[in-house]
Amino acid sequence: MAEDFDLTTADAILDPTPIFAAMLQREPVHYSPSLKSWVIADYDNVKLALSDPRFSVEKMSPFADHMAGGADAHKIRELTRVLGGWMVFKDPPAHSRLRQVLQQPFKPREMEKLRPAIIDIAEEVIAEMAPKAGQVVDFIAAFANPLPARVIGTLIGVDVAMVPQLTAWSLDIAKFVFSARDTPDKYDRAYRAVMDIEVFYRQVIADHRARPRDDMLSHMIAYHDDDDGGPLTDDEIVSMLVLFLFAGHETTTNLIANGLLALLQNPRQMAQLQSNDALLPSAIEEFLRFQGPVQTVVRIAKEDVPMANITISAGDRVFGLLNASHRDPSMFDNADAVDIQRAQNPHVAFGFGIHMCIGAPLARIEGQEAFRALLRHFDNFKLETTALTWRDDFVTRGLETLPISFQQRID
Amino acid sequence: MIRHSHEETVDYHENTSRVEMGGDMTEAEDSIWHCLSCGHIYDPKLGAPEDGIPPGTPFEGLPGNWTCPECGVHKGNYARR
Repeated sequence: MAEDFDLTTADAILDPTPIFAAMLQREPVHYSPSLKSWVIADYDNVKLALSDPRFSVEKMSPFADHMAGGADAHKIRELTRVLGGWMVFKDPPAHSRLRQVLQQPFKPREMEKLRPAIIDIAEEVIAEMAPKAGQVVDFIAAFANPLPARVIGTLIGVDVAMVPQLTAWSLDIAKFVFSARDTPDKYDRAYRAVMDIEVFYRQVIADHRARPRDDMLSHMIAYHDDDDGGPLTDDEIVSMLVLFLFAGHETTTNLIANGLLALLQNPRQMAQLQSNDALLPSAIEEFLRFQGPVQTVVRIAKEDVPMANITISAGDRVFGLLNASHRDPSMFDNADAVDIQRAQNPHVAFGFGIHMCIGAPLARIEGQEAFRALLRHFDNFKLETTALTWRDDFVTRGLETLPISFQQRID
Repeated sequence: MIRHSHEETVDYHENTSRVEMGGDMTEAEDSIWHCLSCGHIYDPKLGAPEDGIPPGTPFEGLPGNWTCPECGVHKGNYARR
């Protein structure tokens, strides 16, 4: 009889790696009665689920249909209207059209042009944090949250003063998308957030239409391809702007915070990075592998798919455990150890295949410049808690808070 | 060792400068490399003109700070095919 490896217990949320290890050893592909889904833990099959066209990402409409008779049906229909337009929830050809618009502007070469602005933002956040040297501070509130929020605001082209409000809306939407169990009014909060954010973005779009400028939004408005359905509609642009904020904010916050935690818990790795910033690119890859910001991806089988010794039937839901696949010993040496000099690191933290995160080049730059600035200005980092609180969330992997202390570097 | 360890890799901390190409490429220099992060292919016959890398540049001759033109990962995360 199949085991039901439960990743939702308090112990599993604190540290899921013993369950990952048990899955990898005993049943890397198994059916979970509690999730009513297949769960995949091993690297090869996670990568298959991410990249095989027999698996669909279109799961918003079935969800809306499922909830159609409930008290929140109207709110869920509206949420589906806006969030269902995200390219992450679309298969080709609809996905291809939306992805094509952003493919070029998100290329690493284009994102490199943002690096100076990201360095400025990192320095700005460091300057705000510096007076708290010697005190206990929540690293997430002080650094890991504001940095990516300001970067996304800059990328989109919205007034930086609006960033805290955008962040609050984004968190409310996250409660819905990630099915937070600790938020009973999640549908209501996400609905109000989406309605408010839509009004705001429609004003921003109108302003950019009237006065085009050199930013991502003006590029999206100007995009036109006669062979591919013409220009983007305002509905499509609103959907994509909501996705930018959502996908580019909390995930990068978690990358930075989970990365600092890995260094705090591995002082030798911290010392190596402090003494050699050429290790920053490989360190960021290791942070993405060791405790990736996205723990789980969901797919729906479009047809029967043989996998391991079983067959996943058409219509079945599949959870691919990215962070479990990163601990697969057949793929990674010393998979449970942090090694910022890992020579090769083929993690799937950004996914793989046509849905691979388009913002990966931006996240990499943000991660590198966040740690470059932190380690240049501060040292003597200390973890100021023995009881970390992880978010009660099956899909992402992030801390509620990260209490630390630090000193300003004097050299 | 990870499974693809039989594939040749490069040290991403190397400070390789652009090489001047001339003459025939050796078999090793002719090898195709792929990005382990996103699957991008680097074919030395084509180079990477958008990055100023001329056709005929072997992977080993790419600058040490060269990154994948599709996903931005560092050069060390490529493996020989």
